[in-house]
Amino acid sequence: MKFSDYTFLALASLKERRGRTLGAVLGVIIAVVALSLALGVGESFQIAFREQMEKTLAANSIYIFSSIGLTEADLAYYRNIYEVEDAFGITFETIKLVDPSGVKTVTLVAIEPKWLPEFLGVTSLEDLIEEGSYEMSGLGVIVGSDVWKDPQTGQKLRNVGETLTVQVSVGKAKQITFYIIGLAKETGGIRGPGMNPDNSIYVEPEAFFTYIAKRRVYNLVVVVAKDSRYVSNVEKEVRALSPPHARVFSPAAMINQVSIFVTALQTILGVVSSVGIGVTALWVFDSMTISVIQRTREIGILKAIGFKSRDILLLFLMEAAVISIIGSISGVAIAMFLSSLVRIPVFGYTLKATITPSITLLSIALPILANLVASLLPARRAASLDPVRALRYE
Amino acid sequence: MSSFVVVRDVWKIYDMDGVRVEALRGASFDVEKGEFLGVVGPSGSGKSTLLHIIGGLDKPTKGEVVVEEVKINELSDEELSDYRNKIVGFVFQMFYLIPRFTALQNVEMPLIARGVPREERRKRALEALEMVGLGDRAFHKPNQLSGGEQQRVAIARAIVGKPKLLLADEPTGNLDSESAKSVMEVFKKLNREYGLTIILVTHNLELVWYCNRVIRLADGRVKKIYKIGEYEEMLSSMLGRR
Repeated sequence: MKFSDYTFLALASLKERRGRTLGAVLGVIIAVVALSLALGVGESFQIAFREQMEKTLAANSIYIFSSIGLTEADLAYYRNIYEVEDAFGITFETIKLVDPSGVKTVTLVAIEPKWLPEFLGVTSLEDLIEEGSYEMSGLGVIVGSDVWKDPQTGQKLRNVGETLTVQVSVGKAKQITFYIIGLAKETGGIRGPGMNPDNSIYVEPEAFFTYIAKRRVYNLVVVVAKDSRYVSNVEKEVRALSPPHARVFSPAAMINQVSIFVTALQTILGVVSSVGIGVTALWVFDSMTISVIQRTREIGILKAIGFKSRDILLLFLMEAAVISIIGSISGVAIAMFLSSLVRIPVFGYTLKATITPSITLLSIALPILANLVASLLPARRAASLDPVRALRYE
Repeated sequence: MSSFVVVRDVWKIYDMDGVRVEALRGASFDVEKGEFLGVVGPSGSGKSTLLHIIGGLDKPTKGEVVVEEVKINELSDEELSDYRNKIVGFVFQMFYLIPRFTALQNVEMPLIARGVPREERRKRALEALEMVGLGDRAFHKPNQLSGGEQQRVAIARAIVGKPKLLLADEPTGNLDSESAKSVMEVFKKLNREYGLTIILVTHNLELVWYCNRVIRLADGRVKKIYKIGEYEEMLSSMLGRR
């Protein structure tokens, strides 16, 4: 028998039982829409999360924290690692900003201006500055958005050129007055490790070590690998070179760990959504079993005129395949349409389901496979019917 | 040279819920090529079982059936399907047409099983329908046809694959006398004009006049074989017994 003949016979049979067929197709559509959207939302969340993480925590960087402090000698060691492009130190200190309206706690961050984009996850210094300059020197500082404007109302509180008086408690408590050379754009909350960049004041390290700190040590060193592919190797060498009190942290490793978690979550979502596919497969099994009973005599006729057992088996499997193919393709099309309409707010991101080619393939293949397996038993029963008994069946 | 169909000591024993039923008890006879053989006998005499065994729908418990020098009882299921598709054609009392298909599509069925291309099988199915006088009813569904027409569609389906042996099981059993006559005329034409070998199972004794030879079955055994000219004797014997 030819493939086109199986299709013709299967379609004719399904058309005759159109109510049952429509029910089964609808079942497949609903299950596929649920599966596609669940996997699509999971995929979308994973992509958004990874992008955000990579943007925030440079994927080719390794962070070394130390409460005691890391020295210029440590920095030199890190810079000498073969696959390292550069390394820079950052020191941050919690200070009090003296304001006519009161005292506010902010973070004073000592960092070379050129490393600010790397540290804050922006592409360039121009992208960081809302107003003024980024060329910090002496007591000229860049202030975060929460410092120069009211976080609630957005009202501008400070301008470029104005002074800022802060209280520092490193060693002997003292007051220092900075002047503002630049106003930073809002970065959206906690992006840099261990601090809120919007509630920070950025100062040039030389000024910090001259006027505020006694010892030239860094709380944090960021080692930048030549390529994100080298991060794993560089991390091992950094660990070997770091003093015992240092904690080494790789954003790439963290991103991978979170990605594994999100993938697991996506798999669970997929498995839960697959319950629908299982229910549909049971429906197809039930429908096929009834069909075999109702068409027992017809099977006898087909066998009497020369249809082989294999032909009967494939005929029933073809019916299940037709239901599954129509249902799953329609389901994926509906899921794609819905994904373009529906937006889901999750953890501050607005997600839409991303129906990737692999999700499409899985959403089509899974119901086909499940329904073929479900219809195998009734199809085998039909194929093994004795023709004489089948012809006599009332 | 051996006969076209050879039935040798064929037994068929069923186990019906622990009860042994002997449907055939050593039936033996031959059928020559081009013969129109009638098989008569009362209900339960084993006529249909015999036909099913010759047609490869059933297997004998014991004995041998040879058709065109092929031992049917030794064929595998796959080979039996081929045998049913290419060597024999069946006509049943209940017509057994598939209601959702047109007459033409029903007739095409054996050719679909054989993998014949669509255009060719359509042409051959139309020829078969014309041969049974239903060329103009090709696109009617079974429920739009009379009983006689449905049976003629079933005959067209049986002959569309150009079988060598036509097996008819009570083909007029569900028909009025006019329709029965038209169906029997089709059998006669197929036998006389196309040389098709036919085995007709019936309990309608009026049909024996269409046959070249008649086998009388009783209790699963061949009671007697009658040739043309001996039918009066058979009829009086059988009707006398009733």
